[in-house]
Amino acid sequence: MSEPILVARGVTKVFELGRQQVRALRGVDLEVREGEFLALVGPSGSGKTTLLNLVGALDLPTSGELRVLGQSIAVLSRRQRADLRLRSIGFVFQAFNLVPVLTALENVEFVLELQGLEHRRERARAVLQELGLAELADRRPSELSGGQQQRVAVARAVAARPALVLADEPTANLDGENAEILMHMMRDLRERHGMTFIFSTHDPRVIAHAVRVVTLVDGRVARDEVTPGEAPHEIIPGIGKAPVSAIA
Amino acid sequence: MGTAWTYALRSLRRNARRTALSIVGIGIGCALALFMESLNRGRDELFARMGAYGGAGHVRIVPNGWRERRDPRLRLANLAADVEAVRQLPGVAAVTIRARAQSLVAMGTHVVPVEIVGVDPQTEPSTNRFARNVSQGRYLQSSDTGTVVIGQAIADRLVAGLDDEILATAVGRSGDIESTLLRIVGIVRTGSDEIDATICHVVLADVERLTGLGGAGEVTLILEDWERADLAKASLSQAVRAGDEVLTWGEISPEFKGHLEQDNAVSRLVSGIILLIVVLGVASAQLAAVLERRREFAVLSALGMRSRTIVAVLLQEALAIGVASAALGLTIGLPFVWWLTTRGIDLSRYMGASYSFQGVLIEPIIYGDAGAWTAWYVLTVAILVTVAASLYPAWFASRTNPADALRVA
Repeated sequence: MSEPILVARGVTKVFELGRQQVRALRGVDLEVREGEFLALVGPSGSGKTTLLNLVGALDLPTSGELRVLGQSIAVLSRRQRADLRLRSIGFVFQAFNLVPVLTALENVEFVLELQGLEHRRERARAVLQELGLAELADRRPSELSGGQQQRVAVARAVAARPALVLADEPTANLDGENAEILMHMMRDLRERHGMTFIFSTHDPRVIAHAVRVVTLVDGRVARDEVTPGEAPHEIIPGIGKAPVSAIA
Repeated sequence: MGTAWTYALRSLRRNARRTALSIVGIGIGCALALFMESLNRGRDELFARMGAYGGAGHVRIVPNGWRERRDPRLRLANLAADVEAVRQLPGVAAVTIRARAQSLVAMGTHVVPVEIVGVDPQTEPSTNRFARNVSQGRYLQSSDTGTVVIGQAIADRLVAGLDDEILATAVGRSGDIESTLLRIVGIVRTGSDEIDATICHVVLADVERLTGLGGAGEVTLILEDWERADLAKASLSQAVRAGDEVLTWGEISPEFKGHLEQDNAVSRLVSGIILLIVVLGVASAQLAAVLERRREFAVLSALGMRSRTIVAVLLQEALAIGVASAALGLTIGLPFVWWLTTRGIDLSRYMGASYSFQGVLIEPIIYGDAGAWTAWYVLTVAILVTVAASLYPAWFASRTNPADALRVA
């Protein structure tokens, strides 16, 4: 059995809003293994985004143990957390959040440049090609539809072949057709490259694609279900991270 | 060019009006600073030239102890070696030797205390502009003996004119009072009574005769480039033998140099205040730009961009603004500098045809200085201003907490 990519034990997160304390997470226990395709679901305010932020090392837990890719998030410095995100975690946001002044190709290339990789332009082009976005390479975000922007955002997130991709409501701003395209794209990536996907969503059509569905209610895991016949850690045994050069 | 540069440069076009205003602000600030600097340098050059050609020279070899005591009776220990050392020094435009004596000059019942300067009539005019501007009579000649050239103020106080004989009295080598008659062959009118009251030139032999002290009290040099005085001093100091020492014009006239430095400090303070105002204005604009892009920086941070990379990107933007501002600053500033260097600022309306400052006669027209330094100066100032203005916004952006920024946005 592979090492868990994510281990959460009694994770809490409390926000201070003036004199008021908001307990966003009240003790989350969760274990995610490599190659899983996991949906975090739950009503608004249940703690989905907060949990994704903690897993993505964007924020620190108030208490509890949170290990991502073998590293305890709580003890990492700001720089170490940035490095962890850069090397191992990809993000897809609800609002796409592409850099508006860069083309689709440059948005992908920028992440590779941050990593200090060589042949960035070729690699970025190859990623767009693989995801069927080659014809959008030279367009800026303002020249792309929402669906196209989100697919480019996925390309940016996976360009450096991270072990873990986090997506916060990735289909919330997409119509049904684009949501389907996006989910297929993410499943394809997971099956081809063995990446682990964790995404939050309300959308039942998206939930239908998930192999495992974790339901959060009031900052706790209320349900943890696996699609029948698809034990998450047994779906793609032996598939590791493919090197970027493999697609170049 | 990397994507980070592309990102930085294109980001400047997001709010083109703000970027343009920043560039205009910095450009005007740089142009003003350039004008002030040109004026400062021109004034420095003018004052140094006036001082040097007023007799001080750029560099002077004097006997040990002269610097502290300013005793005109001191004589060089190794005149021949000193002159040889000067001969070997490159970049010397003119050189002369002098000997001085404290004296009283009198005619009839009128007496004036004065420092008599014994000169070499052949070389003195090349180092002293007063020797070239005798208003009545002539300057000294090598064959002269018992002759004197005096300033108009001394002539007025003595009620003396050309060909009159005045009695010069000084303390001789043995401590006795020595006197000699000197015939006035020339009168110098500089336009400044203060300066005219200091001019009393005789040939070296007459000073020797009056004081009983042979040799010379100084070797005075005029350099081709006055700014190389310190270098010339360093070179000469190695060659000059013990007993004598080398001084620059600033050491010869420390009050004059101090006053110049004080004036320059005030001018640069004014430039600094102008640029500080520009820095604060640009910093405000940059901070607004950073706040507008807070979500974007949060996203980039989430993607793994380090704090220092965010700072670097914003400094790249500042660098681009700086270069553009420098180009604008030069475009605006150079015509004014050109005017300053060719027409100059004529202060004669306020101070007459000439005035003296710390014992140095100053011409009333101040010209600016120009040269290759203007480009480097403006580029340096513009980049320093933009980088200084961007440091706080860049730091602020680098401290963006991605989770907070994304949650708020």
